[in-house]
Amino acid sequence: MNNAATSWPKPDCVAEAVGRAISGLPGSANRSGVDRRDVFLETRRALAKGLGVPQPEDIALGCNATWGLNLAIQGFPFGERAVVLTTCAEHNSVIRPLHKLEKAGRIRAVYLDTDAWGRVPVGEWEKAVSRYRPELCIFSHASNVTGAVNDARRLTGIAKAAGAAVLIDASQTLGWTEIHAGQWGADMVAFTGHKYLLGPQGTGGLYVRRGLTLNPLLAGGTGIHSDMDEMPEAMPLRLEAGTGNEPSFSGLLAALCWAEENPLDRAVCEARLNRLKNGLAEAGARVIAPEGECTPVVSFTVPGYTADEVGYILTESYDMICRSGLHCAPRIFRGLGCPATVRLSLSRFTADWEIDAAVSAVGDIAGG
Amino acid sequence: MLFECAKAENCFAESRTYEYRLPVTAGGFMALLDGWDVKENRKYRRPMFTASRNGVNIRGVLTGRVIRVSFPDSRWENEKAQFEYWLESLEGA
Repeated sequence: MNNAATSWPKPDCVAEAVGRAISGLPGSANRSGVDRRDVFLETRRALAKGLGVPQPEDIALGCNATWGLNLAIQGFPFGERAVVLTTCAEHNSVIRPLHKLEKAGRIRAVYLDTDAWGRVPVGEWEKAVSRYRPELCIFSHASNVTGAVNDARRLTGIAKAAGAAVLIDASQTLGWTEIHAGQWGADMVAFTGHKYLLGPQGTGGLYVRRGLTLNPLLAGGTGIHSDMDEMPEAMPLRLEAGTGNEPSFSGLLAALCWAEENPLDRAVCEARLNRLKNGLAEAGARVIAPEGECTPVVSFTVPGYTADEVGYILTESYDMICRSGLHCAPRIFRGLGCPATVRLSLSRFTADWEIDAAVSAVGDIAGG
Repeated sequence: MLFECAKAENCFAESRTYEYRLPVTAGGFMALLDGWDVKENRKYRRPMFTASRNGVNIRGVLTGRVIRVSFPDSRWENEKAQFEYWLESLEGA
């Protein structure tokens, strides 16, 4: 039950596709053409549908969302003394690149408090955008700690109306929640393949709106335009130096195709999420249960125990894989009223009996 | 007593937690914890124990051979060294 970290299990076709890609001949530039399957292009096409953007080539593929977020933040063409507005719900993959730039004197980062559910309050966001006039606004589409999904359309609209660029961290939502980055007007969306897209670890990327030019973090071979000293201007090559991870992206492509043929049953997933939340609360846990749209993530504490203790007992005594601690989002705990939580996160494959086993185990702990 | 030790990585602030693989079960080890505040919980699917003394906390599954030990942040190196010296002095495999 740690799918918000890395989903498991994957559809069988994922491992098969990875295996085929490793044992088969690798792709190369001089074997391209109409008769050759381009795994990266097909993956980009499938991802463009999921992200709601028209041009697949505006998606740069890399190793995870951290790669995408670093590229977006460190590669953004900031002016002098730029302000970046972000939120206390962010992951360290946003906080640490911002800290690095702030330490170098390149930006000032402003963190907006999130509410008791880890959600960005739209009114406060609007005030902060108006007060700080940021060049770049960054927010998570959903909190990886509480599962609360933000109103991305409104947050983006407010920032764009004030002239700011918008970067959305969709690590927790792509594959689970609808994303319409094009309609929303988002400038950049970072994502990962190994969570709700059901792909392998080592896959992710960044969508960049046409017309926004990022400075690449890496320079190197692109297979084409090899006579140039500079990285090519054209996307996605500009942001993709070096040989791509063809086996893992073959797995991600297989997962995306599988998901297209097997759409998520939202009603069933929501019923299971509520079964878990209600069950944990009845078992004696203090559950952070946001109202409104949520990803299948439940954070909780058990009175009388530290989150570390609960996580240890669930893992060692009940073979229940969960996550406990700060979840790499340390600032969110200011608003949650606890120093750390235990997190259970479901997938579309989680069964009722697994949820009931988790509830029963937490009941054993809470009952002393 | 011979043991293996490895850092237990986790996401907590100021974590100083290590795992020790012992030549005896944690249940057997528990019996050697004279002067510690020891608690057993047999309600869990795999019964466990916890023990604490001077800010050092030990826990483990009674039938397992791995225990997890957290040391107080302010003096963790000293406490860890003392704990391991004591472990080495114990009779065991």
